Amino acid sequence: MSNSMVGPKALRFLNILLIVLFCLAIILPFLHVLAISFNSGVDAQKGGIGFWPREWSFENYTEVFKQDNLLNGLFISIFRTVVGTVIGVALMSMAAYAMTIKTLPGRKQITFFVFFTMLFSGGTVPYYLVLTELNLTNTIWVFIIPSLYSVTNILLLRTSFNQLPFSVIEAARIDGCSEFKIFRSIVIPMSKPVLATISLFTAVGHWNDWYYGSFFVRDASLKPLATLLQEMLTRQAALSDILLRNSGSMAYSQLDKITVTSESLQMATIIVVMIPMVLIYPFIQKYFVKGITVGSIKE
Amino acid sequence: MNASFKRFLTTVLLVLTAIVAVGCSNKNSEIITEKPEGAPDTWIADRTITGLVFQSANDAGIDMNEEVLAYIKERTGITLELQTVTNDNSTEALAAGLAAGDLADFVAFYLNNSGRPEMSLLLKAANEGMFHDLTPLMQNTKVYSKYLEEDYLPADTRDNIMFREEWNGASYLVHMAINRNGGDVGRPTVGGLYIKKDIVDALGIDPNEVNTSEELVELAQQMKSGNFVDDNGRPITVIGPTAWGGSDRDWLYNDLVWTGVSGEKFMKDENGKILHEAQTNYGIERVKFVQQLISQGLMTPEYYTMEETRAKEGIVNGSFGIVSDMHNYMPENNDMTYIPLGPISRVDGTNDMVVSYKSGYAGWAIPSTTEYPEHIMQFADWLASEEGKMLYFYGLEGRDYDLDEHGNPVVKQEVLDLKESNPEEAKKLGFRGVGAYWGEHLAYTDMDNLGDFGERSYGESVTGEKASAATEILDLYQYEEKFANARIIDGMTVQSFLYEFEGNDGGLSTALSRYNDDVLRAYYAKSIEEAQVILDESRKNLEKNRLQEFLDFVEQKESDGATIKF
Amino acid sequence: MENVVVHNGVLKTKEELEKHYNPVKETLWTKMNKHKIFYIMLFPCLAFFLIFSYWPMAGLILAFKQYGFNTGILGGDWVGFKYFEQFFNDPRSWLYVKNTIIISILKLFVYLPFPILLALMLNDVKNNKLRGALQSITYLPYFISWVVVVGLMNRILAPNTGMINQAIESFGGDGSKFFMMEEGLFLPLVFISYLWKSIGWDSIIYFAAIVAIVPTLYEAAAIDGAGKLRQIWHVTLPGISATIIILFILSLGSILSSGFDQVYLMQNPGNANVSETIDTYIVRTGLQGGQFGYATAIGLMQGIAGLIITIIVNKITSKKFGTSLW
Repeated sequence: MSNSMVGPKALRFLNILLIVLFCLAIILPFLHVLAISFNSGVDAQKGGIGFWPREWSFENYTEVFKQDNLLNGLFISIFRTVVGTVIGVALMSMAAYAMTIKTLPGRKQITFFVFFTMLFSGGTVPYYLVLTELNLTNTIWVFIIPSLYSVTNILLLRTSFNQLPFSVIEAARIDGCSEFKIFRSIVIPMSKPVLATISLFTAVGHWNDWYYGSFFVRDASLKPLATLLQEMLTRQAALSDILLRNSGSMAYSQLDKITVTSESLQMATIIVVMIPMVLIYPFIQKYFVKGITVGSIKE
Repeated sequence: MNASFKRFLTTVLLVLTAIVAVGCSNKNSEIITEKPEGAPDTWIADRTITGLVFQSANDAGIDMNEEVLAYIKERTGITLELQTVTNDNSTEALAAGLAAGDLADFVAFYLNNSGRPEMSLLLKAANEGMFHDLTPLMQNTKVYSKYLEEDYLPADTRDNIMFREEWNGASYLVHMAINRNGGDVGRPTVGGLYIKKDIVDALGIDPNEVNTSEELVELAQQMKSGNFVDDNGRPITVIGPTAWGGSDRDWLYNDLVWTGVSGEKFMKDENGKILHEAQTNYGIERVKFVQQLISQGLMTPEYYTMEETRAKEGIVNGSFGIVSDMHNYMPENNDMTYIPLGPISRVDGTNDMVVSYKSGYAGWAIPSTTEYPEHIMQFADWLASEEGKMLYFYGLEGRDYDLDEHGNPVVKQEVLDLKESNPEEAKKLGFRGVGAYWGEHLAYTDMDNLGDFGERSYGESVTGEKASAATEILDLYQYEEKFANARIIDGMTVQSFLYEFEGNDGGLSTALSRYNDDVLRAYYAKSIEEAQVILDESRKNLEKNRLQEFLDFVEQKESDGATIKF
Repeated sequence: MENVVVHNGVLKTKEELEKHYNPVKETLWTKMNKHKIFYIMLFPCLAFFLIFSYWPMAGLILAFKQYGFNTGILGGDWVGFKYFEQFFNDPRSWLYVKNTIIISILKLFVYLPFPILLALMLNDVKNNKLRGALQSITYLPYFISWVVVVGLMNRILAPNTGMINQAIESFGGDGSKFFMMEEGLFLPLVFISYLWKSIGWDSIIYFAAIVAIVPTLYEAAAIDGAGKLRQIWHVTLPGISATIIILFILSLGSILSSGFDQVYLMQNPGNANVSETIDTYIVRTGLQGGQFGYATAIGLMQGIAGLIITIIVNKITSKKFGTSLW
């Protein structure tokens, strides 16, 4: 079964066709979401909207940006993503680089110490207790500090640093460069692909995370966008909770208290939350051309 | 070390300092108890009171209006600050907060009755000294002191939540939403089954005469063969879910659920023995009923699972012949497409209206870490007073309402208009009438709207006849007559004895909620035999978790004089 | 992959070179002192894991204690293996373990080749703009939460009114099948929705690894007459095998927690037999009334199982493929 039977051109065409079909399977549900978000809310309630709005309207998007808490959430999300990514990637690269120094006494133990944490966790409650003890809960730093390091990302960085040409580093050492200068002016510039990838992973992790915002902060002004969206989407669960556990006129008055965000507004918020990450991707993408690999921790 | 590294270190140090500074600055605000000159009588202290609310974001109502806050500050010296943990699972959040001892000046939580899952957690916390004793604090108050009067509180609130026997007069939890007068239901509401009016007219039936599940099946078959269509011309689904989405509500088959009005599935048999539904045939009878409806295409298969948006969609389009639960004030039904059906009689054959003597909802407590707990109690008392309630329900005088000659609020038309045209914007005015619920936690008790404000619900005296669909439905249902003959019960439900019976073990309460899940599974079992196996297994699980012992325990309680509401 | 350098005209490995520069045996202290700067770089990292991972691990002791709010984690009475007994005495627990493992296998093993396949396919698209666009599209679903995905599924697969059923109806079928409620369809639906949501994102790392393969290897293979598929088999896959194996081993630690959100949201009365997992079970029952001890005990079991499986698989891959995590 070599190319003599199936021409490389035909193969390539088939390949593109398959990917395009798959992308279609992804795009169609998104078109549905987009269509509802651009449809007037009252009309959307009647249902039956497919992939194109029935009654065009931008009111959902203007409404999103009119809501103070969503704007504030956007600010929190941007802050934690930018600050968390910059500090996190800087600290992780330093640690990962130090772990590649073969002569470092205790290197094995340190590596084990870090990687063992992937396997066990103490559970939510003890974790919460620690955050409280450190006075981190209900401050903006609870989004930054506890997520500074990620084991997988350290592993990616370590492997990549291990593969840098040793001769260049050694030459700099002979020239009398300090170790930190070597790290800063040689290792970092040579590792752009892996740094770009790690930055993407870290930034997306920050952007998507709603759990910390719902559990570890209480002030409304500290809730990131992802948490607000999640609240909007799960309000319904809270509703049926009341339905199940209550009866009588008190239940109805509680049900009336809950205003469910219209579906169109929900969909518009989903799109708004998604856009920044979709926009940064192409900028990161060009670094992938250089490639990265993942290696063992024993090297 | 070279310069760049030093610069880097400095930055890290600066960041760390900032972290520590921010981390520590959010605690310990100053409390000034000395009353300044010229302060009003209602002045309590110059301090911040933070409340931590374990409820969903909207219920918590933490975004407060600046002018409302300023008014509170001026009258009481208090700066109110509400915070919320909006986890999916409010119980887990409450547990974690209690565990960390990281609580605000007061905490607020859902608590319908003592059978709520939060209850065992709260009792555990109270027993372990996590909360201040509130009884001495309540003695010096105007509104909350009523809680100490004989016969003010409903039995469950008094005996199971607030003044438990083992606490010897102390109390740690405040139950809210207590009506001032017994048997008062507030705004007259008709809930339960609703049916499309045009179908009733076409079939020429009397919807009030459908009172058994057999009659309901008959009606459903007629509706099916009538080939009715919805607004889009598609055939209707004869029986749809509730207006709020899929849920297992009893309305559709009241006579097939082994329970009284509590819905807890406990009931006395003809010999006076208390039984749980698992010990009767009613579970499997209901399964047969549901499977019959689904297989004949009379009930939507999504009856128990449909999402709220799609249920609303169905109602807006008139796609459901019967809606299994809604009420007369639903805005989607302003044109009276749907009118009440039934009700189906209960398993004991009764069909009359039953009203709780009083009922409660939600609650609050003061953690023992709070300084000057009396301030919190005084503040709550002020909020629950006439002045506080007026603020919470109607906003600010002059801005949101005027007073008539009887001292009752007259809502301004422009506020009502804004609420109608842009509810989100109106909500920012910051009071209950427009959908801001910050006062629910401390102010919403000793309720008597008619007595306090001259109207049952916000703006009623101004909008007047506008809610005509709702009133017409009341007439159709013969509400006045039924209410006049209503039975008033003040009792404790069977499940409210669970904690006393098993403490923190939780085995039986888990088994009871598993029974409800299992019945749902049985509805969707492939055959009646399979359903029977599921229900048998569930019964065995209940028995293993000491169901019989518990029933004996409750019977003992009843013979000791407790009134039980089945 | 050892780096080799030319030093004074002799080919040397890193180690040899370092020996050359550090010929004298040093005491541990001077050695550590020389590496001062690296310890400084590592210090925040170690402090981080000590505080945020090891400190909370002390909480695992709760698995053997009666928890009290006033006694905290370290106080409280010992209860021995009570919670473990409680879990295993419940006949349904084994069902939950089984369901969890099946869903995990689906997501770890069955799913594994798909992102790799997508990365290979994308790599074959030579037009940079087109590839970039396609890649961006596949990565979109990663940004919407499970609530939305499951909501869309409910809508599309609804009986009578859903898109699929309406299509079936228009072809003369019955059109009332309640797909989400079918026990037999639960696993396929879990798999398809998981694939739909994660494949684009997960393929990023494989794609980056494929690009890192030196082009001359392909050229050499082409000269040997290897076609496209052969090149993939003999050059690309070996080139990224280390990445595949290591990411796979890393994911094994969570084998007993099969992803909470998705499964929880897709549960309904019809599929309860196959959809209740350890995680959803804990949320449903374990945390009611603050039974932290019980929840912790189950978490501990999940961790130990993950550890054992990771160690075994690491051994196997080390023997079979010569690649392992450690």
